[in-house]
Amino acid sequence: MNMSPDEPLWQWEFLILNRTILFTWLVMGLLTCGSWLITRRLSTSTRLSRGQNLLEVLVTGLRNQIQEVSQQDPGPFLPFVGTLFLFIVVSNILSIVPGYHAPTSSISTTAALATCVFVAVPIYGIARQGLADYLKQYIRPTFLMLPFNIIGELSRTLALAVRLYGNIMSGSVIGAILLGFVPLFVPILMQAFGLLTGIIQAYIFSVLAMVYIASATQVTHDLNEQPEEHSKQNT
Amino acid sequence: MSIDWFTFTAQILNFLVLVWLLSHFLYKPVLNAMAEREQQITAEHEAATAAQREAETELARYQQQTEDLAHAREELLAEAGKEIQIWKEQHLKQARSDIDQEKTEWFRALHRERESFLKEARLRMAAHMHQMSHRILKELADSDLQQQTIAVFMNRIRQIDATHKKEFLAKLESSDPQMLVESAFELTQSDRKKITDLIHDYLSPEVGIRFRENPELICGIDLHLAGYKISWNLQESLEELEEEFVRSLNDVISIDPESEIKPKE
Repeated sequence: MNMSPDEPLWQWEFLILNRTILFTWLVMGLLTCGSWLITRRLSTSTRLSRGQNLLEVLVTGLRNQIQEVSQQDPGPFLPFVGTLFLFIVVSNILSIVPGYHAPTSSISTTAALATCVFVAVPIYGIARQGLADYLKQYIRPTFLMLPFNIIGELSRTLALAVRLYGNIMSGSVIGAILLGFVPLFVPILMQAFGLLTGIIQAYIFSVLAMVYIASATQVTHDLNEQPEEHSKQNT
Repeated sequence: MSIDWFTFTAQILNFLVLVWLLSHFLYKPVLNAMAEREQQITAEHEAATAAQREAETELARYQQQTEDLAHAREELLAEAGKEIQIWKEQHLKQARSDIDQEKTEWFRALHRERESFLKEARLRMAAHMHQMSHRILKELADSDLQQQTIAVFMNRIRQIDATHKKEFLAKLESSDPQMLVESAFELTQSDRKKITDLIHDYLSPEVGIRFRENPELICGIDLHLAGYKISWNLQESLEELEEEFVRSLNDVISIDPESEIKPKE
C-alpha cells in the first residue's frame, strides 16, 4: 500500500506533477477564487452579504488570535500566519471528498511550510529588531547557548513538519486500514475525527508559527521590561 | 517517509504565491472595507453626536422659551386679574350707586304717593266724619248740627280763662279792634246777634265783628283777632285723626318717611 501523494502523475524531465502539487493548486484555486468572488463586491455599509460576513468574521478572528498570541499589531503577521491557517485547514477539510489527498499528508508539503516558518521567523525578527539585536538573542544569556538555540530552531521546525504530517497522514492511513476491516460506518466516523484533527492541527501549526515569530520579535523588548514587570508584581 | 525535493520547492513557491494571492484578494480588500465601514460608522456616530448635541441645545432653548412664555403668561394673567378686579370693583361701586339712586328715587316716589294717598284719605275721612257727625248729632239732638256747633263755640268763649282773656284784651287794644268770625255754614241773623252779644258781654263791647263763610272749616266756627284764635271745628279732630291714621299707617307698612327715603351709605 503506497500512501504517499508525491508519486508522479506526470513528468517531463525534472518537472513533476503529483497529487500533492495538484491538490495544492486546487486548494489555492478554491481560496483565491472564493476570495475574489466575494471581495469583488464588498459593501462598506452595515448591510453585508453572507460571504462577506463570513470573510470578515474569519479575518477578524485571525487578527484577534494573532493579537492575543503576539500582543502586537496583527497587521504584518496576518498574511503569513493567516495563509498558513487557511491553507492547512482547507486542505484538511477537503479530505472528506472521495479521491482527494490532502497536501498536508505529504511530508514534502509540511516540511515546506515548516521551512517557510523557519525562514519567516528571522525575517520578522530582523525587520523588527534589526540584524544585530536579532542575532544577539542566540547568545543570550551566554555565548554557550548558541548551539542550543540553533538546535532549538531546527528541532522546532522539524517538529512542526512532522507533527502536522504525522497527524494528517495517520488519519488517512487509519481510515484506509479500517476501510479494509470494517467497510461500513467506522471509516465515516474516522473521517469525522479526521476533520476535527485537521482543524486542530491547522490551529496548532498556525499558533506555533505565530509564537515563534512573536518570540523573535519580542525578545529584546521582553528582557528590557521584565524587571519593571517584576517590580510591579512585587508592589 | 521521504521528502521529494521538487515537491518541497514547489510547495514553498505555491505557499508564497498563495500568500500574495490572499493578501491581494482577501486580506487587503476585507480590511479596507472594514476600515472604511468603521470610518463611516465613526463619522455617522460623530454626526449623530453633533446632531444630538444640537438637539439638546435646541431642547434647552425651547425649554427656556417655554419657561419664558409660561412666566409671561403668568404675568399677563396676574395683570389681567388685577384689571378685572379693578373693573369689577368700579362696576360694583357704580352698580351700588345706581341701585342706591334708584332706591332713593323709588322711596321718594313712594313717599309722594303716600302723601298723596294720605291727603286724599284725610279729605275723604273728614267728609265722611262730617257727614257722619252731622247725621249723628241730628239724630241725637233736637237742634241741628249748626246750632250745636254755635253752642259749643259760644261755650268755648265763655271758658276762656283770665290769663288768656287778658292777653286777648291786650291784643285788642294794641291792634285794630276788628274781629273776624268764620263759619263753615251761613249764620242766621239771630245766630250772629247771639255771638255778637256774647263777645260784647264777655270780652269787649267796643270790638267790631265781621262774619265770613269759609266752607273749608268743615262744620265749625273760628274767631280771629290779630293772630289770636278761638275756634271749634271738625278740622282739629280731623287733624288728630289724621295724625293717628298716619301713625297707624306707618306701623302697618313699617316706613319711616324721614329715614327711609335717605339711601344708606
